[in-house]
Amino acid sequence: MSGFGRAFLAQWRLILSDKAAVVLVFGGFVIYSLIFPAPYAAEIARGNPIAVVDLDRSSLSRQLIQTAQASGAIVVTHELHSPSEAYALLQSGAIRGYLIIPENFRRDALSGRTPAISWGGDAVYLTVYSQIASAFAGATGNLNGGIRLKKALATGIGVDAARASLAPVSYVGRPLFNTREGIAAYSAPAVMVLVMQQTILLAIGVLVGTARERAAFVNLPVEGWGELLGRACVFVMIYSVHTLYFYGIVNWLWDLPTYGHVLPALLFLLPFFLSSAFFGLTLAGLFRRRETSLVAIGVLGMPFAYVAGFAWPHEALLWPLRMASWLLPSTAGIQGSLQLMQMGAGFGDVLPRWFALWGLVLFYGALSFFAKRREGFIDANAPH
Amino acid sequence: MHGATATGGGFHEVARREWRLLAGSTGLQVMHLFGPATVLLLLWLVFSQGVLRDLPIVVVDSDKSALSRQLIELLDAAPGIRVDTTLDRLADAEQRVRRLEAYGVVFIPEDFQHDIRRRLGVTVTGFYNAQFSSVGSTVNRDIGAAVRTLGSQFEAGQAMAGGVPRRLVGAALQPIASQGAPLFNPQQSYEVFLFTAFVPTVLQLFFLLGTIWAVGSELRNRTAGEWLRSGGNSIVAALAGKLVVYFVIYTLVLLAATFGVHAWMGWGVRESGLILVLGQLLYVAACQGLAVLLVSVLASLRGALSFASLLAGPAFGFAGVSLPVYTMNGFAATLHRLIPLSSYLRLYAGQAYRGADWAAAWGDLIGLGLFIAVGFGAGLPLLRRISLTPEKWGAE
Repeated sequence: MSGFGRAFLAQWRLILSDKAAVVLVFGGFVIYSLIFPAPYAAEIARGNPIAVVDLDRSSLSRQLIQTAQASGAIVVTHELHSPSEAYALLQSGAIRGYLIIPENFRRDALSGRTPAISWGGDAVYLTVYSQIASAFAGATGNLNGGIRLKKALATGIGVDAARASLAPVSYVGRPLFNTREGIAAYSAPAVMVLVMQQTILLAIGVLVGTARERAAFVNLPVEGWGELLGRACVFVMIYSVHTLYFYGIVNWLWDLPTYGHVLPALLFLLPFFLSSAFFGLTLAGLFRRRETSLVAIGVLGMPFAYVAGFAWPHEALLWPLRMASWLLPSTAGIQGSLQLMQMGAGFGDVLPRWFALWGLVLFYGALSFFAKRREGFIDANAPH
Repeated sequence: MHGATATGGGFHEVARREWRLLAGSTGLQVMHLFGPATVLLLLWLVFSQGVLRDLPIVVVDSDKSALSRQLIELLDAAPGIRVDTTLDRLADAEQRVRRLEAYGVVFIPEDFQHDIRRRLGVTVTGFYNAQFSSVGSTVNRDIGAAVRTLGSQFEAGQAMAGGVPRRLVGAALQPIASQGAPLFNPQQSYEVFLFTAFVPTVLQLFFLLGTIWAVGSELRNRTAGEWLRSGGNSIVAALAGKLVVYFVIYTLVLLAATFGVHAWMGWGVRESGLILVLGQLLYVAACQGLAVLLVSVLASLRGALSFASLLAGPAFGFAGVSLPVYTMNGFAATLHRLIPLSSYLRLYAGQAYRGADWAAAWGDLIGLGLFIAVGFGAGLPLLRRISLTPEKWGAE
């Protein structure tokens, strides 16, 4: 049998004989795919509690409150009498926003005296704040439109002309791809690609750590290019199945929008899996004990995620960080798989990132090749 | 070294033993101090810009008129976006978004200027990449603001040309004025929203893993007997002496990271720094209590490390930063209550940003106290039994 085949089988045996490695490469991804999206199942922050201080208590003020609530983004949980009460309640965290409607609101609005409603929201939590802000802005715009329409109609022009006179130009914002602007839909497809990389790194870290502790290198075939590729291909095989599971079952389970076909995604992720495995073999040289990699790779997950460009754009990163981020397979892997599966891009659109991943295959392949050579040399001379 | 007695000397002896272990191992120093510091520094560098600026967008200008050029200028002047190119075909523009070369497309229809002047009702459409979330909302917000500015500039010009006095122009356009305030984070900075919440999130993972390592490696390395003896055969003294070393280090890291960021950004801490510091002490102890519970229930270093990673890895979502707990289903809301981070972040946001008082804080302080009570209360007896049973050591 070729070196490739021997290494492929040896790596399979090695994984299956180690309970921790089995849990990591098979269970880790599946468990994470079921847990991670859970807190985001609601997709957007609706039903945010707010207080209302209605000093007018007119038909117009009630209409404003109802219109704001109709969006579903807010729920009036407190009706108060003074703005200071509302502010104190916001400080305590019991509500996320408030709306203050001044006295004589209706009279002033209809007589052209421009009453000012004021509202506040807790902007520490930006996802909540943006929902509250758009609920209030939408309700105000709605009321303004109604009042102006009535006034225009009163001058005797037709309905169409009156409607057109409202705003000379209006804006319609259309979210592309993640059309519901859900948080699970934006984060899960990216994070799960990172989880693939992290569990590959962890499994290899644990396996190499164990081998070191038991001085069991002898069980591994002597490393050449074929052997190295054979070992990495085990991960390609396992994670291709995970990819099918993710795009087939998980996306359906959590109702994540998908606009791509899985075959191009598999082709794109092939160098991602290979480079992650070689990256793992390179890193494994740093860990002496099997548990060390559990800690080191676990805590690096967050920085790896936030330099990948999906949660925080590359344009906003300092250039050394941006450069360094391309050394992680997850950066190109996440961006390219999002393009293919979430954004409906063609394979031609992801070619730059595909080539970047092949570059990492060569880079980490060479690094792990030389790391292994050195290790094999040490091992050959080590007393057993 | 084993000369400690059961009376009092045990605690100091264990603490000295732990300090020697830490001082002698670079790996341990990385795990407990330099590792968390490096990860936090890295994340801080990532978010150091705080708000997004000059994100590239593409304009499809089908009108090429004075008004459409005016809109393009307004778009380019908006803080969050810049007009990268103008193209003729919408399909080409969308292609650039799919290639991640632009984050949004503004479509200006034909007869834009003509229809605005004749008040025929013109719509400008902005397409933004909602798959890249912080980017999408910034792009949408800034395009919308630019279009509205164009509209009001045009209307103000018309109204004044039509003889409406300048002071009444506003009233004619907007019968009701609306003044909204993004409170406690006026810049709407992602540094406030995300980074300062990352600090305790990252540290929770380190505190859990570090504490599990400190206790679990005694079992794994079969040194639990020696450890217990140096504590005068008292599990309370042995655990307290061991954990106090890390309690001090962790508290200093949390204090330095929190107050360091606030001082650097010039935010100050809004209300009583005292409640916040008390919360921080309880938070560190709560993480340690949870870690002791995990390692004593699972009786395995690796098992406890894996379980803690699984619990703390996705903790950011469960803590309710992106989506509040009142939007979560039963499973997620339960997990929300099972991590100390949730209580601490609620306390932190109240104390550091909103200026909340004691009355708003005690619930979360008690919540953190519960982790300490349950973690140590249930963990200690279990750990005592394990450390007296050598057959259970070295479990993998």
